[in-house]
Amino acid sequence: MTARPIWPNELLRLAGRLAGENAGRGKPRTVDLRRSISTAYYALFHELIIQATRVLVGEGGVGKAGTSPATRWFDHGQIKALAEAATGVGQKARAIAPVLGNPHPDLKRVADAFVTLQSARQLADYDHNYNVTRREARYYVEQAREAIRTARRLRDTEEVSYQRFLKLMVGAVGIAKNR
Amino acid sequence: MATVADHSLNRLRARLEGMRAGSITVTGVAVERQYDSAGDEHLQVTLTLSDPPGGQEIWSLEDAFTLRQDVRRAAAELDLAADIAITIASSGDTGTADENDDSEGDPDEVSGGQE
Repeated sequence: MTARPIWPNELLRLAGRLAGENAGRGKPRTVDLRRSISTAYYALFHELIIQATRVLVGEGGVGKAGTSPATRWFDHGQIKALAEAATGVGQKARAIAPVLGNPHPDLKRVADAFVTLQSARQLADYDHNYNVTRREARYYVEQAREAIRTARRLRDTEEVSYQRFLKLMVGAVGIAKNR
Repeated sequence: MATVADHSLNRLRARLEGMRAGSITVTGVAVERQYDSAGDEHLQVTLTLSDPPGGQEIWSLEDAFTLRQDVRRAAAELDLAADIAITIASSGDTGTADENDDSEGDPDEVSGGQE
């Protein structure tokens, strides 16, 4: 079967286009701004699960662009809970700190971006009263872009807490709750 | 699960009103209880932010990150057990969308494609 990878960079480009980047002084439609935010979130989501899958099954276990059945094992809510802990603030951070360790400052930024974008995506996708603006949509797209850059830098430098974060993405918070 | 008391919400709201991080000032705060599909409660915190400085199109990513971390710290200091979702809102963004657009027409009509 031919793989049709979901490329985070393509999602980012689409998100930017929907948010009216490089489009002059027009007025993007609300539906475009909503989809822009949702797409920006998915760009970061797919970047993280591609990276985590490589850590989980190794380079030999993934196809081109990191495709593997294991990419479907990740759960949005579980990653969000882990990311909340990785911001380093709050009760979740205290609960998972013994396993996650001290998160690198850049991991805190990636984690914050994931949590923030998922919250925004919930509004964009489901809340009929969400009065989205172009500035907000463009902010979220830029936040996703920066988070992906940062995540790749952490990956390339094999930063220890980030490596641990990637390993814990497959449901670690859920497992911890049941122990 | 225990529900977050009204007075705790009010205290959080008071802590966040006027909060600053670098170039960003919080000009408005809304804190609401919300529930997910499993019935778990979380707090939806919406921060209305001052305009970005110097004609910049969006807020500083670094300042906004600092602001959200400060919000999380404030909630932790108030011992709020519920998860917190933080979203931002613009206080002034005139180039926006279709607020007066009623062009969606008949909601039952599926537009596009071949007839």
